[in-house]
Amino acid sequence: MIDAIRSEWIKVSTVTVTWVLTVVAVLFPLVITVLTTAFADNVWRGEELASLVTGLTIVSAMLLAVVSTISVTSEFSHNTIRPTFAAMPDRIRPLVAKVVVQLAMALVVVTATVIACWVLGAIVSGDSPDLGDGTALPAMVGVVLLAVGLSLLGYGLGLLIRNSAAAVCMLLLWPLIAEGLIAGLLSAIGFEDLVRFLPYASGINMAVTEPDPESLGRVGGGLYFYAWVVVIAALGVLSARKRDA
Amino acid sequence: MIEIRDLTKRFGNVVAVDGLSFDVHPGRVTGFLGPNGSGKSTTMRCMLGLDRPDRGTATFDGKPFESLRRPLFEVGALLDAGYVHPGRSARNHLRWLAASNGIPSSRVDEVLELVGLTEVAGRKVRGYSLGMRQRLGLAGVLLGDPHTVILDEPANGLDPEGIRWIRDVLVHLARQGKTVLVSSHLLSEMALMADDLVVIGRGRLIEHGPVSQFIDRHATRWVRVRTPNPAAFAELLRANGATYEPLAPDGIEVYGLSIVEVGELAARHGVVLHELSPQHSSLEDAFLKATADSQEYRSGSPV
Repeated sequence: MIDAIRSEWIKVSTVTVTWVLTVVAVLFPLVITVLTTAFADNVWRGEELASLVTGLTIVSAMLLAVVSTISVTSEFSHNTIRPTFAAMPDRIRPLVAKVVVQLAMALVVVTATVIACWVLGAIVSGDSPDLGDGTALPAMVGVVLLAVGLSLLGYGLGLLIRNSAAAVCMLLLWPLIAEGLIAGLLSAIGFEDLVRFLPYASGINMAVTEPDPESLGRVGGGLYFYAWVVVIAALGVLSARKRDA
Repeated sequence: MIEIRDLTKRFGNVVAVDGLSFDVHPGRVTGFLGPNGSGKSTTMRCMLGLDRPDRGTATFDGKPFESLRRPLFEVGALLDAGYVHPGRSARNHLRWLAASNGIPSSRVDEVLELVGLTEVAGRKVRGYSLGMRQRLGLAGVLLGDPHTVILDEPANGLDPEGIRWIRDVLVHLARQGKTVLVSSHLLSEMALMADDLVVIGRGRLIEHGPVSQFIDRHATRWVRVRTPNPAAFAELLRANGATYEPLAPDGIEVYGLSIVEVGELAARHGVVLHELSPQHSSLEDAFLKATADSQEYRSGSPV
């Protein structure tokens, strides 16, 4: 298994797109955090800074989920999945190794980015915000968990869809557009109660300082989101084991 | 030793490989021949567990490919030189492949040296010619020094020097006692390197055995004659039961009589001969004849 993980790490770390997206995922929230805390004149207490940091690092989470998706789909578009499976014919080792590498990347990069944003925001604002203030800490832990979940979702979608453009569209358009449209439709026909069961709208409660009171809550919403994502990833793995490579 | 038994693979309604059975023996280069679309690549993908066959088995020294823990040490395969990420360098491509089977990266540099890519190993594969990609693919095959080698159209895109090189490499591997299966539609190439042939058409086995047996069975034989007065001798041949085709300016291609019969006929009638030679069709002609009924795409006659 260690060999498989090393192999998958070499793959992901030797293509440019990984590093471009990762650098953007780290720098974008850092720069905006510094600018915002430097120029906004409000007092930055813990919960306010956490709200800013989590809002920005959701973008990082999305970008790392794109890295995860492409790490799968590029194997199919360049057919490197064939030498991969020919080198590890049980198929399960490379598939597990790939998801381990991707989830570890999301975990490490987003955790580091959240910490860096918090520290820089605290220094630049000079307001000494408190981690224990309100929901500051749970929200920031939550955004890391959301990032790991989105990377798992990207991996699963990549295995099921196999095409880079289609899988990345699905990954990004579903939370950003499709769920909004479905929510609007549900409300229009009088089924507002069902909106809370939309997976992303539910999962986002992990990563905000004030979860939607109508929702399943921070923990409930998070678990519900993860249930969806785990099922999609499991279906992806089953499909990749069964189908012709 | 590779044993293929009753291998069958369908894609929807199309039967790509149909009850195929054959053996590939160690110490010999086995050429895998068939017209385009005859199922060669599908057979190879099924052998490596990449396509799931509907029926049948492929085993390597008695073991199915899926049961191999570190296959690069046992079966080296090059299905398509294009199976590389264009944005990755040759060395990094080989590094991930080597790591998957616990092969140290020092071996990567060795195989790069073997195939002559050391100087360009750091360049992205995007800038590689097809010939360089074939060399990179072969480097991947050699990583684990396997005793079985499977190559799909390895000479594709190579220049004459590269074709000779790959031929020498494969013959060398076979002489070391390795099992070598190589597909190609370049029949002239096969004639120069293959010891055995497996010929398929429309997914079915047409012929399996040594190259010489294949030529004996399918090749046409005739006698070429050159004489100062071909028309008169041709008339004489026809009277003795031969058929013939004129060969400008002074030749005749004679069918239906042996070279001895033609020579004696000429001697009896005092005909001067400038040439009397046995002819047989090439491996290519033999192949076309053997697979004539199973060509999926046939060209019309040139106008």
